Amino acid sequence: MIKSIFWKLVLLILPLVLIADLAVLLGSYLITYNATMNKCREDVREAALIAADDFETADVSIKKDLQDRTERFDSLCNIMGMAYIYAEIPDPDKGCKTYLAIGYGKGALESAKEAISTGYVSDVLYEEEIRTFTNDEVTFCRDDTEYGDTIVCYVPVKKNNSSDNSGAEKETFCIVGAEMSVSDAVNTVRTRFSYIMFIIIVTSVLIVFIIAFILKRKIQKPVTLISKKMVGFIHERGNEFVPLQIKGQDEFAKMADSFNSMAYEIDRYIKDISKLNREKAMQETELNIAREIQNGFLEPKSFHAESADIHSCMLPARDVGGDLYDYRILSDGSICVIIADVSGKGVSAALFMANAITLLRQYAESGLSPSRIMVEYNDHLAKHNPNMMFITTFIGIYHPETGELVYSNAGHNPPYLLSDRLIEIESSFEAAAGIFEDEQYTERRIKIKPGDTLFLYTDGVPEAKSTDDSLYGNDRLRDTLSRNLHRPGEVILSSVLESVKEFSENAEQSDDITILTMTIPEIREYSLKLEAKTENIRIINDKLLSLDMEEESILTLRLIAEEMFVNICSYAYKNGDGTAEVRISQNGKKVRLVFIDSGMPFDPTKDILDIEDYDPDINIGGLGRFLTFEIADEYSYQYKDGKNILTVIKDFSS
Amino acid sequence: MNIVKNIDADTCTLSIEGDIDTTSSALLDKAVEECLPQCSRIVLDMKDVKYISSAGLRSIIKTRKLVGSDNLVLRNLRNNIMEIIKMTGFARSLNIE
Repeated sequence: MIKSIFWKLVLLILPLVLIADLAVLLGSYLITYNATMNKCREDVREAALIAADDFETADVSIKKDLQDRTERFDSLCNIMGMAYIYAEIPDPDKGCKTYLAIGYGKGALESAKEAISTGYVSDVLYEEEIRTFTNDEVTFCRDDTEYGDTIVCYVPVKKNNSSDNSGAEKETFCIVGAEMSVSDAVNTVRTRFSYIMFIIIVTSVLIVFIIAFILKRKIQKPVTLISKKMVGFIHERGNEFVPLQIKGQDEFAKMADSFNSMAYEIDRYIKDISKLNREKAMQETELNIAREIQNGFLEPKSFHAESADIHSCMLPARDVGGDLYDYRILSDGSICVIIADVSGKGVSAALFMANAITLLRQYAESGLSPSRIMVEYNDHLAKHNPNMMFITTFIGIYHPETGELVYSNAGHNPPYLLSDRLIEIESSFEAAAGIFEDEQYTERRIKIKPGDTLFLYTDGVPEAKSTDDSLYGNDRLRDTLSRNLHRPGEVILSSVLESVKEFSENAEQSDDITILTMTIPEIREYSLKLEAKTENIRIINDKLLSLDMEEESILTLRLIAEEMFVNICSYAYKNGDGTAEVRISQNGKKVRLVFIDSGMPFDPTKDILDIEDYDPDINIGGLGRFLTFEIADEYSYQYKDGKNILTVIKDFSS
Repeated sequence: MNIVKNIDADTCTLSIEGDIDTTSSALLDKAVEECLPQCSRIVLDMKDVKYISSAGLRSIIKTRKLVGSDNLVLRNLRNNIMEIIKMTGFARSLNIE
């Protein structure tokens, strides 16, 4: 796999150039070869003519003369560069020839010198020799025999008849042949051509490489530059983009221009997007702050009072929401609970909610009845509501002394009362607050027993969506609530949230979900009248174990009860038998234990042991009192009507 | 309350099951006394003790007084019991594992 553009170019150009070289060389070779051959023919012809001229005067009958001729032929050979010059008489009839004289020159083979001399008869006779002898033609032929590869020219020799010089036709009596070695000439041509070929091919290859190198520079340099720039565009972001500069007007320059304009566009887009992202992040930060501020408006999630146990939650769908809840103990000891839902979501709803919650608190604190609060609050909202937003609101005030909830409902989902059965709080459907001034609101009442729970919620609960867009609905809500009658408010609240969560799975929460539960504590009271004997602790234990409380709490109550009961047995009645009464009263997680005996007056809250000085053999009862009052949240002692009365209170809700 | 005694050389392990309160603490005292002649070291395994009152604490402190604080080990205490022991300040002078 050839990766570099340079080698690709070389491989592409080189064969083409070499083919062209070979064609040129072949052509030149052929032309030179032919020219050389022609020159040879000229030379042999000239030599033959000179020799023939000379031989005309020879007298073949004189041996000495033939010897002279032979010598002259030798020198002629050397002068003219011939291999052989000879005179012969061909005999066409016999197909042979007889040598009269023969001279040797350069290129003559030793074998020929030895074999051929005057009078030698050769049985090789060419057609050209016959034609020269019979027709007086000058002929040429190629003579490639054991005596070398030669070009031959045959010239006729006329008898020089001195006696008859009148111009009568002379008779051809022999022919002269001059032979020149071809192989030498051909070898010279070939040798020269190999040099030329070598030089041309080497030059061509060099030129190809040079061309490829130049092209490579022309192509590869800008391509490398562009590709580096493209890579750098991503990796060196953050630096200002330096445009790609390629001179000229070729395709690469155009490509660089296109790249530059594309890079500028991308750069601009990226800047736009980063700006948008920054703005979005800033907005989100502000919304987060807004959400925190909004959550700050709300009361804590849980609240425990003697007369009510309140749990609440608000889960905004996105960012800030328009739901609100509120609860407070009013100056007369009644408890005000409020839930409301602003139309719409987001910042506008949150701002409206902030105003609404402030007004509601203000009017609730002023001691008005729910319907009066609603009227004042509605008037105030409606006066300053250019956007015509509205807020459905439920206000309830629970009076512990009568066990009555007085409420007013401005278009809000009717709350539920979890009593012996599930009761929907009857509501007259009145306009949501914030739209019309002078709207009148009615007031209703409902009894709430200890142990009952009032369940307030916003429509985010029944309108929670599942992944297939179906709604949680009131039926599911009622089912969940019905299954949780007589349970603590926090359990009811978490059961509903869990049920909604299970229903909606991973679907995005579409609306704010707000819930408030108010549970009226059920006070359970028990009285045990017992003989003051330590084994009766068992009876107290059994009663404590029957309380609906956590095991750890019961163990703590057992400790207090045992220590105080043993105390009565060992001190109050140390001189005799007697009875003691233990009263247990449970109000939710708060338990009051009262110990009454008619024994010797003894204040167990006094002279509590200094634990540093504890000795198990001396301070036999001290450790129990120490532990009891360490654990207790409140304790008091009085001696009244001949009775020791000790009250210990432990609140497990904290 | 049940106590299972397990003597290994000079160490006596008492595995207690049940509540250690006013009525049962005497049993613990007795069990400790019984192994004292043989053993100098006492381990109280309280894995199955859910409840302890001041009488039970008093038994533990009495035992500590008898064998010395280095030779009494309390093992597997439940959280609520640990809380009570901490409240008294005895935790500092007891070997609790």
